[in-house]
Amino acid sequence: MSEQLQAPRAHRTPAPPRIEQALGNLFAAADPEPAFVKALEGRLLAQAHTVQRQAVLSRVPTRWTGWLGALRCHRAVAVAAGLLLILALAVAAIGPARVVAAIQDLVGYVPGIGFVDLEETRLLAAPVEVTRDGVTLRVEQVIASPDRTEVVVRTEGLRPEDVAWDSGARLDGGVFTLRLPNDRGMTSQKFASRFGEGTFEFGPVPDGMYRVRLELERLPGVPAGSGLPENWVIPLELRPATGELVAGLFSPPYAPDGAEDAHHGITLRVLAAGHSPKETAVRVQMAWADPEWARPTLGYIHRPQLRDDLGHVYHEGPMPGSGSVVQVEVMPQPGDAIPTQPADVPTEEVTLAFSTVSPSARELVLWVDGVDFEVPAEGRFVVDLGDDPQMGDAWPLDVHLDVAGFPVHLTAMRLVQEELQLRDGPAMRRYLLFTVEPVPDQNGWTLHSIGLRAALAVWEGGYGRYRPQSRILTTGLSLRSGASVPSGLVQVFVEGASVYFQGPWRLRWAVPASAAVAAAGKEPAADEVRTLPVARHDVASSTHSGLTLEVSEAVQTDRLLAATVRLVDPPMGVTLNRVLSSRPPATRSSLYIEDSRGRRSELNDDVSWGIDPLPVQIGGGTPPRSDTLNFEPLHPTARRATLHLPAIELFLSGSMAFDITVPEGIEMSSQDRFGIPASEPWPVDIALQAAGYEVHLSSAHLLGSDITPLLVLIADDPPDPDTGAWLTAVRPTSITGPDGHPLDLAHAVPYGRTNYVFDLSDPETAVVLPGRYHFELDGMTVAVPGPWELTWNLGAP
Amino acid sequence: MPSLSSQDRGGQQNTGNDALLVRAARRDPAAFAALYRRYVTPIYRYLYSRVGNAADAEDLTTQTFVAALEGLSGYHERGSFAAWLFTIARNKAADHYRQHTPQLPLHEALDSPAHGDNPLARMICREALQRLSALVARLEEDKQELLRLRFAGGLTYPEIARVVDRSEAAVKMAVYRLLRRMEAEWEEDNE
Repeated sequence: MSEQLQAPRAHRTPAPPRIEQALGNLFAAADPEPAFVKALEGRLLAQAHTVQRQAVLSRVPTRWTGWLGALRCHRAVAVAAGLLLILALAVAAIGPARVVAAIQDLVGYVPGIGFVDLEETRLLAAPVEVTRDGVTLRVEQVIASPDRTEVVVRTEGLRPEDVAWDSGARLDGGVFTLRLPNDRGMTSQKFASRFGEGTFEFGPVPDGMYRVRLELERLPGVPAGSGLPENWVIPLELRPATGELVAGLFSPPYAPDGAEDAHHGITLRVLAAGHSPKETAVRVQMAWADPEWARPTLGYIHRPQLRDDLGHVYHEGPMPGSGSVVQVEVMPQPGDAIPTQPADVPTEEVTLAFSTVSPSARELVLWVDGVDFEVPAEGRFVVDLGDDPQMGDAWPLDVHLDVAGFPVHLTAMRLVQEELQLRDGPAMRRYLLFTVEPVPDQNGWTLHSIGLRAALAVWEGGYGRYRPQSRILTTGLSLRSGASVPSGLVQVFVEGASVYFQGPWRLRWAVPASAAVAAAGKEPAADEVRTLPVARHDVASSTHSGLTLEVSEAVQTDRLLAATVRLVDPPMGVTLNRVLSSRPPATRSSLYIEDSRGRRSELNDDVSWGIDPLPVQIGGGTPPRSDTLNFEPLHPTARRATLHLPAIELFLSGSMAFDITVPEGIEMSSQDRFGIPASEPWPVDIALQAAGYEVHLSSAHLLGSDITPLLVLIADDPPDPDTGAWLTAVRPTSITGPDGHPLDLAHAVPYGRTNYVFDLSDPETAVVLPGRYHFELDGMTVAVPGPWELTWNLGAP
Repeated sequence: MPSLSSQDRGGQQNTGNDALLVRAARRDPAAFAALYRRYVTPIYRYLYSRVGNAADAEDLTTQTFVAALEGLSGYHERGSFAAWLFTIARNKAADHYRQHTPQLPLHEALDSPAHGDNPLARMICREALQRLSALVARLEEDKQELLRLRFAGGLTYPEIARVVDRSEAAVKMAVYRLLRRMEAEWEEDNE
């Protein structure tokens, strides 16, 4: 039976702590003693007087400063003379090697061009190319310095007989033009070539201009009437040579036109977008049909992403409250049409902050995989705890509910407690948990939380957890601290639910021109050619421990360098699972790219290249065979890149089996080194062999609580840590319990198909039966230490 | 008028004042005291989070400020004084580790009373902090270091970037991802 209840309050899963505030409290728990602070201050004050007397002796004579100041009046001379002066002083003080590093901070060197003063020079952030009729024109570099502009080009696809390269020849005017945003054209003064690469020289590009066009009537050295493509137009995006992204490269905030998408009666719309060197802000409006839905949240399995037309995928940056605040507002102009919603349609707005979008992007797509809502739900049921309920008791149930249109079947309940070890002694958490049969999706809706409350005041709040991979939902009530477990009947009310609405939503819009272009009064032509980032293939390989890795593709843009690594001719049964960032057993990352000047690019969490987020998969699949790594962008003057790769993870295919026996009477009587309740480990002796690799399991233990006891397998370190394989996971195809029944893999393997942590508990009782568990595997993953170093050239050889 | 404003609350004003104090400290030793008072607590907290006990934290704090004072004439005011100071502290902590076994971080500090006389509130707070401490301890060392510099040391992202020799954007994203991961793990453990 059911009663008509008052409108239920929306249920929320107990909110996580505000992590940042909690971390602040955690680290602020230790303050120095005031007596120590005062004593140290006195000591430092006394010592400071001694240090001051010593410092006077090392002061640089002021007459040197005056001489340097005079040199700065003549910039070109100043660069060379400044270098010599720095060299003279620095070598005397700190030695030749550090002098080179210091000079590199002041100037850049571009082969074929020479030293460039980075402070006043604009460069091409990354090479670009255009292909027509099988002929590719690549612009390798643009050096826009205060007194001239040099453009380095390279062609591919020309036959030797097509080209008559004249080194150092003077050209007729009007054939090669650099077009500025104000439509003024500069003709090339000089052209020099060497083995298919040529350099045009033009006059200086005025300050503040970052977008120019290279216009070629014909390719260099190609005579008229050759039948090859003519009238090339290459738009070029320049950047400050220091690598800094300046505000002038970006559009002012704008209101996109038509950037909206709708599913399930939920409409998402981009109201405003703003770009800056620090981040990209997007203001999104959510509108939905049902006024009783509440608290929408964008993204569920994946966070929202921003994608551009070049191939970049931008990820969200730090949220407000983490040290930065982003607001974007676009004030409507008189006459502008302002999109509105009917008054009775609920809406909510949120501002998302992403990493900086490339100034070269012309189109953006906001990708949202789903939207989560709290929805009303009603229902009630009664359960009987009996006369003397005790912790650990379990009861079968057969309760059917309709929760927000989803058929929900409760199959069991149990009383569980969890003992937390605190410094003052143990503290208990006690729950009445209900086992829910996996709830099938309904027309792209996923039920992931059920809100419960009970009539008795001893039951407070609610408990809820959902595992997307296995679709296992757990709900329950928590018992007030210190209260006795009530006996008899418990009336339970359903007071709401959380539903995830599957998308994806794709909101697409065009990015307007930058402020610099707008100021010059010239918009890019509608049919302007789009240059693409250069992708180089099969650029480098390296062999270590008999395994050869290759960079099969390297894509360089102004926002990243994406390197795809693959394993060349792997042994039978071996595939590359992923590249690891540290060399086992170390945990510190040593995966990076280094250029020829020693500058490092770390892994880039801000931006990735062309990767679609994968849906959550239940069960296995073919392991990946290559891995694309995204690094921070290289310096514009970098000519060579070396990928330092510390280790890789291999998937080893092979049929294996082993037994793990969980001892009788095992208790969580200990803790692991992180303070999590654990059992004492027990020894096992299991050798796993696949594809020529062998690992050994030496012990196992249970970890966690009475609610989620987990089996953890412990593998030995390899006999030779520099060359041996370190087990990272096994992949079971079946697990059979002591009673001879197979365990549900979706429940037993909670963290993905490949793992070393397993949930062997009964889903309804949470009890891990003692006895023998039989594992059948079809593979395992191991970490193989390197290093591998793969080097390739970025421009001309 | 369209506008886009982005505010960094991370202490840009302090950076400018630090530069003035550094220059002043080179001439007048008393000015170093101002720098010391500004940074002694965050340095101590950071070192405490590394070594886990007050005695070693005091010792390393002393070593850090003595080294900073002696090296002040060589500090070139390029970047952030805080980043320079915390780099010294990190090096001192690393030297300490070469000679001592690291203790569980924040072990003693959680004994400190909180929330007045309310035992339940104290217990809940301490329980939550202990859980959080366990979550932190589970992280890789370089990730723990980011949290120490940010929440114990109170450094801004540009300052952290200088200390750990990474770009500001990489540090920001790493911390952001770390916090989201910890939130998720907290929910996973929440009962």
